[in-house]
Amino acid sequence: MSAQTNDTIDDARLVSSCRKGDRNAFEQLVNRYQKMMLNIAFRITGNFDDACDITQEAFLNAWRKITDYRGEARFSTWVAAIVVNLSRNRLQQLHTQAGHEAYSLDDTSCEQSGFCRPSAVSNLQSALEKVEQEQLRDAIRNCLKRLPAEFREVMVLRDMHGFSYDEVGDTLGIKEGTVKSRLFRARDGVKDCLRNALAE
Amino acid sequence: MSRTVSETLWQSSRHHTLDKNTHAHRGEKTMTHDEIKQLLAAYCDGDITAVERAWVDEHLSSCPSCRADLADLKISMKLVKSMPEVEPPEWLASRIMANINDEPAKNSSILQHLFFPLHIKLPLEALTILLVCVSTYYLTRDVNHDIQQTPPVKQQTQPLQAPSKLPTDGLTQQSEIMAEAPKAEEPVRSAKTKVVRERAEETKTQDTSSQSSSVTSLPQSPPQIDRATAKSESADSPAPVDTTPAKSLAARPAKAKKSAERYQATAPITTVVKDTVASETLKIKLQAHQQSDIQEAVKRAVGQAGGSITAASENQENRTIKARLPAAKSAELINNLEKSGKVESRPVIPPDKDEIEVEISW
Repeated sequence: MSAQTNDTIDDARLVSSCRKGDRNAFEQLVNRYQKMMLNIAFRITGNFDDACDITQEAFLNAWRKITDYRGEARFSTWVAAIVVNLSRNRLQQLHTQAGHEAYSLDDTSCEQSGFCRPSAVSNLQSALEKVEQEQLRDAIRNCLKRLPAEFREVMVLRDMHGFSYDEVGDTLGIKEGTVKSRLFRARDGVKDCLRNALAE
Repeated sequence: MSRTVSETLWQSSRHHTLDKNTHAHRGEKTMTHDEIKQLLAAYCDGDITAVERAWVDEHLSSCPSCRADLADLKISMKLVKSMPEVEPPEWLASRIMANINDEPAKNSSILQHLFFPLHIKLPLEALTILLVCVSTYYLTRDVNHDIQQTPPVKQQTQPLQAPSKLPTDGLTQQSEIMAEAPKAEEPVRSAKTKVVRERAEETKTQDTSSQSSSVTSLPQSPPQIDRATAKSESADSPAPVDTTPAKSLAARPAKAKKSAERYQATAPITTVVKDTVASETLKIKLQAHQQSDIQEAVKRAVGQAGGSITAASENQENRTIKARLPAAKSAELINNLEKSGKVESRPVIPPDKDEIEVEISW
């Protein structure tokens, strides 16, 4: 029996206890998944403080609605869906506060964002290899941050947290085909973003 | 007109035409360079069919641009996956649990208290309906049964008159007992009670003599209750008979009147008792040893038995004294009378009477 299966069974046992009001059982779930949820929120929002707030609120909501959790998906998938929704709400708030600063084709920052039309192919492979690790991470964070939210969500869940297509679909409430489509576009976007960013 | 980054990104991907003349062949059909590029992300994930993989491999062998794209894609994916995770602050879990501990207990949900699960609720509802139906049936049946079978009034009053419990102040306590005891039967006999009450009111308006006669005219009606009214009235008018006995009812006119009024006011059903238990004079025939002092002897016997003389009459043939006394003392009265003469006829003392009226003649 795989470790993931064992975790799922253990999660089910803990969730069953939580339904009866066992807070200690829920604390075990919090300790087990707080890091994952914090990272998902952090990768989607790009802000650590917001990610901490979202993680707290997500677990609180999970506790309140634990009786609604039917066990059809993994507990982590269910909580991740809450985290993603809260992260979207947070981004929407920020978007509203920023006065609808949407990216546009006419935007002069297009060149800086790295999501403009890619330039001619160059010998990027060797260039990427030469960039120091920290610079790469900054570039990656920047590229992820500039991805559209729906693409970023898929990429965070699939490529950074190893969710299956089904789980990503369950978490985001979309079909598997849509998951793949968004994922591949997100990968292309990050690749092009990194190419342009590192070419500079 | 602004367009989102996603649209821009996707458009750039779709219209990236570095080498529009590069084609991948599949049978007679060909795949464009762009179509091959779109498969590269899935190709990295291994999420394409074997046929598609063959097309991509064939195209890559002849397209350096796509080979570069594939290499960049693999590197970027590797970099993304290798991004270090942030560590949760130490306070995060404790703050989460603090928030949860501030929440009210889950089991105290109002809805959960109000509504049981369906598998519990349905049997409970069925059982409740069954109980209601059964209760209604029996209640309805009992009422109908009582209405149809209204028992004789005398039978209902019998348990109230246990001679062994007759107290010294028999009138008062008996009135209280009679006033309280029939309450349970009031609803089913209200109609009958109303009729009897009207009759009692008519009786009350009559004078003392006519009242006595009307009461005594009722069959099977001992004199106890009517005595209260009679004695109350006797307190207002000169006593017609000897009032010397210590326990004479005339000595307590106010109390007797009050008891009678309360009895009539609070318990209409007791009016029924009054009429039905009305006076039945028990006759005692005495053969005196000595005719000279027999009257005094009889009065003494009555007094010793705790009774009181209510009337005395005399004609050519015999003399008569009427007296009231507790039923329990009837045997003592007869014993006393036997000291003065021979009791020729002994009355049968009703067992359900507290007080009796006797007519002693000689």
